[in-house]
Amino acid sequence: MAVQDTPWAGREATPSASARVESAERQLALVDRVLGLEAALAELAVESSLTPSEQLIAERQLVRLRGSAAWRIGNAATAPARIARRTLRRGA
Amino acid sequence: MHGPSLHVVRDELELGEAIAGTEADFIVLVRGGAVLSDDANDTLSEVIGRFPESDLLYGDDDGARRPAFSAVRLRGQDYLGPVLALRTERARSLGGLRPEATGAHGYDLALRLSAAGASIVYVPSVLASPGAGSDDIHATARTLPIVRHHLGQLGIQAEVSHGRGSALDLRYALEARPLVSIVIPTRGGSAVIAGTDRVMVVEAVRGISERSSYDNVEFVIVADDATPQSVIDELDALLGERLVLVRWSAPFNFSAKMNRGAVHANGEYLLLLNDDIELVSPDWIERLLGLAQQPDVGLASGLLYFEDGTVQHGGHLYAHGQAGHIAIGWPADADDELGSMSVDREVSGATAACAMVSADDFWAVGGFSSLLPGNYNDVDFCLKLRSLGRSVIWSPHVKLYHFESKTREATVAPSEIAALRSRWNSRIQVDAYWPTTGDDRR
Repeated sequence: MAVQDTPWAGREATPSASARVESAERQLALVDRVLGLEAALAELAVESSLTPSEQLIAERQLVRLRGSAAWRIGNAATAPARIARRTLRRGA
Repeated sequence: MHGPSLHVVRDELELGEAIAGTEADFIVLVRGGAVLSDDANDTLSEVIGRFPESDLLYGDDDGARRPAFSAVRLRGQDYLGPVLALRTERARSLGGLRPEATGAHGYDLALRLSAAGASIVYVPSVLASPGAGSDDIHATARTLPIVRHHLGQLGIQAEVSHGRGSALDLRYALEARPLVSIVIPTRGGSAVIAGTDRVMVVEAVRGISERSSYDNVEFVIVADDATPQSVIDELDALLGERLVLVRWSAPFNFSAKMNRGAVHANGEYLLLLNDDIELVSPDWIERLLGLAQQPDVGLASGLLYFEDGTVQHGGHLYAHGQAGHIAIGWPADADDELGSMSVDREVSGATAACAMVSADDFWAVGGFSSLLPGNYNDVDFCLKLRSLGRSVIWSPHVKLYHFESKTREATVAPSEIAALRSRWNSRIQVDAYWPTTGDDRR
């Protein structure tokens, strides 16, 4: 279907209420920002915001990750750099 | 310091005796002839020690990993597995066993504890090997009368029938027949489906209008300026007074379009919908509403299929910092070892391609975030709902086609990833409701 040059015309919802719409949309955006900030703050204290089941599941995942071949290889590959960094810190 | 004392019982006679007389802190009920793993008691003691408020604990077995606790799912299925560790004092406070629940006392106690607001903790460790009677634990012939009684105690009206496998089918009665605003953003695009060229929004609306069994609806169509006039005219002719037509003149922004639609909606509930869908279940609105009207439920969604009939959406799955869909690409009749595709179940999130939410909740979370104009807006929306204590429920009884391309690669702006992670990074690492994530079992 070809894109038309002029916008469609139809029985539009009350254009006179545009101020009300803008205000309502601002209200939504404001609430979204507040909840977003609260969520970002909660991220800083994540352990206290997890349920017991969520904590246990996260710990299991961590144990699995540390047992995986990818983690062991990556850990071995980055070991020299970590040792060098630690040595430099001690010397400083 | 001593850990909690545990009293292991292996049948219902022993369970009754233990509730009446044991001095142990917890009664460990081993069901269906299962064999406790060597370290099960140590594991349970350790978890109880860490989380002393626990009233009921359950865990994995050799056959299945289990999701975190969900009251809605428990009503549809005894998914707690062969080992239940019950706080003795709490079990006693319920008044002991109900004779009517013989053969399913463990399930009955779990439902009664759930109704009493007990702390129910999933232990992600193998606690047992299933026994010969493991199928009997969740046989619906046993669970169905228990659930009817449970719902009666809670004052929840629902028809309960046998579902597929271990699942029960709960059809919740509607509290009323509220106005539902179906909010559809569109630009009036067309596509070839099953060899036929179709204007997506027109056919979606036509299907809903002609085949839905729930009729107290309005259609809030948020249409781009570029929407063809013929599409607007067809929608007008199809819907008449039920059409609320809203103009969108700005560049594409899914979140802002949905919010614009919500601002113009008059309904007590909003049914957020993509324009590239086709209805399969005529009673989809009643099903979604029934779930959305349950206490603490914030959003209800359903099973979406690709055009070829494979699964497009079985709920959201958040793991390893990514968001995806459960069961994507599975054959329509496929299921996992727990029967998760056959039961109403709690999920971490769900798609906004088809989602029912109360207008109150939509406003309470600030709608969709304009920080996420094209991607992850539904992830963020669901996580906001959950941060307010509202749950997200997926139902296999709400079925639609979603004609999204199977090979579609979404273009995600780096700012969207940053926005999502700044808010929810820890919430999208492991998925408590789809526990096979991140291991090698599938």
